[in-house]
Amino acid sequence: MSAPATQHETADETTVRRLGVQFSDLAKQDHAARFGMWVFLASELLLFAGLFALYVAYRIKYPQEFADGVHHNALALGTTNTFVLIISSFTIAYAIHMLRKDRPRVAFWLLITTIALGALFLVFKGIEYSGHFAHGIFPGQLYAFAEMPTDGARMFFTLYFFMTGLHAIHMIVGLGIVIWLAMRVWKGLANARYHTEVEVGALYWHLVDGIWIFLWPLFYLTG
Amino acid sequence: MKNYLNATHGLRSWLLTKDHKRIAVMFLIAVLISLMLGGVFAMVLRLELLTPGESFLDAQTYNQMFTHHGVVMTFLFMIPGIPTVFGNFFLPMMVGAPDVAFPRLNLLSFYLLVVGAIIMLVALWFGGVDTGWTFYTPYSTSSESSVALAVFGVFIVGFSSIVTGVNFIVTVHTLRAKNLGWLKLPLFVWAIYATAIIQVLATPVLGMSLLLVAVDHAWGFGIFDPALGGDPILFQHLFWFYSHPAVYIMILPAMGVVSEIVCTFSHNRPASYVLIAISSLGIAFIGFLTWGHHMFVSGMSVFDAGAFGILSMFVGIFSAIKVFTWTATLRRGRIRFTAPLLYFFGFMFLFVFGGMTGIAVATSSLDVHWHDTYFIVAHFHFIMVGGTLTMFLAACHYWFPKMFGRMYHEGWALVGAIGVIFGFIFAFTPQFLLGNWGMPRRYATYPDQFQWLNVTSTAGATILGLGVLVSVVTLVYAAFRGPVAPRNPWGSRGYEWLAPTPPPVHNFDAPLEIKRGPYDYHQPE
Amino acid sequence: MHEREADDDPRHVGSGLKYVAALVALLLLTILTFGLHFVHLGVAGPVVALVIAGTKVAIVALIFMELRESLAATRMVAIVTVAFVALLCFGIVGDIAWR
Repeated sequence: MSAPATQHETADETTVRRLGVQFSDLAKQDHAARFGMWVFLASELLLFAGLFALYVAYRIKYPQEFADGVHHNALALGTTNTFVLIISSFTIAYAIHMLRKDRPRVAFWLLITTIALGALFLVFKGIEYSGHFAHGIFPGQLYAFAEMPTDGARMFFTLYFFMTGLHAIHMIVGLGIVIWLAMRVWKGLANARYHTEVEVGALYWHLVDGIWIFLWPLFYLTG
Repeated sequence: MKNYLNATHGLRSWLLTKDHKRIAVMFLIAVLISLMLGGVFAMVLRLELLTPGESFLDAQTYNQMFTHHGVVMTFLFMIPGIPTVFGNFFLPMMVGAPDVAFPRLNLLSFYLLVVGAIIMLVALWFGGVDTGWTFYTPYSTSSESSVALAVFGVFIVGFSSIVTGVNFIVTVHTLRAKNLGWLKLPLFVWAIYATAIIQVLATPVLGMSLLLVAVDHAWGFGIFDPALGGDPILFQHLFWFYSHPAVYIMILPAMGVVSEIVCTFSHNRPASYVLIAISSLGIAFIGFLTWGHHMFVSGMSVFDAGAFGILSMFVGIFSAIKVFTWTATLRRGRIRFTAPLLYFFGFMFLFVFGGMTGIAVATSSLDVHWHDTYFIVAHFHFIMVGGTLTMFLAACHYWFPKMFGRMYHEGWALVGAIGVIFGFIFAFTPQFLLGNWGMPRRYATYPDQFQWLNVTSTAGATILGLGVLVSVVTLVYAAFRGPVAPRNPWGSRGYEWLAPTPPPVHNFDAPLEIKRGPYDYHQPE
Repeated sequence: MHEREADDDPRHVGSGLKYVAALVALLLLTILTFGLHFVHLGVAGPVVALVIAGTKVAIVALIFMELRESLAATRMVAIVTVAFVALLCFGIVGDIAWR
């Protein structure tokens, strides 16, 4: 397998290719891209905020049922997934570091690792979900778990499916982004001189990791 | 002379443009259509309410009509209105930039609005949605109408708002011209900036609340369904966490327009620049702390009711700061009486009146009497129509020459303004009385003794509608046949007036050099 | 005006040690939370777990997302956002808990 191309653009060539008319220089444009992503991440966090608030509210309403629900959840799979995502955040952060060190080949494989870890997360999630379905645990009115038939238990698992499901959708989007980033690095379009798009994509990935860091104790630990 | 209007030709050059000015004009068309559409639904309601009993609408259809009116006006006119049109056109110019930070995202925002609007309107119209624009559970999740599709449309429109907010925040932070510090920014920029913060932080919570209604409705998730252990009041918390700050999305840009118009037409700098700038941020912040005042009678806790009541009063402080500062700005000014300034005087009366009734209903013990009556309807229309619509129309007139290079007919503009202001007063003042006397809102019928006030209200609404129509026709006519406008017909010191009229594609012929503030009327030209 | 040197010369880029250190910290904190799960802390249990989760997110934000090297404006975005999430939760809890 051949190594990814490294594009040895001059600084001027990069500027001409990338600089938008509204920015006075590339540094400003890159800062705007990162800042813009942070502002967008703020909106994403507020999207999940409503769900966290609902969790807290229903936990207060159904303390015992929520504790029992947590107890029933697959602790091993959930914990494994937490490790998987944390490591994936490291691999994508280190990929950027490798780009800055002008080692794009290492960066490329670190991005591939990130993708593999993300895919692994989704596989484990799928296993978890099918485990639940086998017990008759579905969201809302389809809920049919005989062992825990209460409203509170149903609400716990409905929230579980909705919150982890929404998180999984964000993971899939994140995977798409990282796959695109890996292609850009492979083609040398993201390199030592310019890698803002990798930084911006990584920010999104870290948010998805961050949300899971909170989902894990809420749904697997606080029994 | 090449400007942004004639630089390129053809429909594609407009539909695929990245120029913030063209995008602003496309938003203007969309927003005006929405205003007219929402107005049609309003007239349908007011015609039905001419008689106490059911005349040409049955109750179910009446409910669908006020749902249409609220959804269209709120999400397709009030929220996008001033930011997408005048924010888009003038924010970059006011910071001395050739465009916004992310021009392609700007175009995306436009298409999100259009697509979301179409989905929403189709679902409302063909799906018989009758929940009111507030989509309260459990009715919204159990109703047989196309609620899921309608809220999905609103969800997409919400994304348009978030994208615009991100764009504007980054633009103000990163694209200011050399030497243009924060304290030399036009006050309209401060207003749009504060609005953008609300758009980014609040809209996602609306998105979530509507998404949950959609999955409840479509798949029986039961998050808010009491039969499945849910709590319907939690929907209200999530909904109003957005929808209260949303009213500040509606009024802050209007207040920004006020600041520009007051200074230009009194030829005076603001009595206190800092107070107006900071109060915009203050309103944005406090606005997030008050949402429970929509829920005083919902069954929420006494603690929350008390806390939200007190917090709701604080926002009046910042609004009052602005009103007093604007008034002081007029003092010793060289006042020129034009249509925009007439709209401003209308604003001052109507906004203050509406704002004071807001403080009144923030008192939870009083709100028990007024909640869900026409008192509330009157209160928010005084602010939204008396405040935002007047300043939207004022902005249309004030910035018209810069946007289109022509002047409108001042006489007809004044006629339109008078129709709007006085039509409004007759349309909505009776509703305070009706509400206080106990007429509930969202009812197709009412007791006989309320008829004369309802008839007055409908008459006023008709005049208001005609006033808007006259104003819009005056402007549309002027866009094609008006006399050519000079670069700065009002003698304003604002930065946007430094650009040619209409502006070239990149706004300024040379990079803007900021040598003075935007309100330096005390210094010679 | 921008966070790093305009000239991202590889010789000027720091060592990647901080990323490794952050990873180790995160893994250790995860193990710690997992271990505490089997210790019965009563009411304090969820609180401790969430405090540790908050610490982990802070590490991800400051080190992996480079918030430490970012401008004040970016840090304000992060802080304000977290504050508003807390606000929403608090407003709802104030209702549910005290009806």
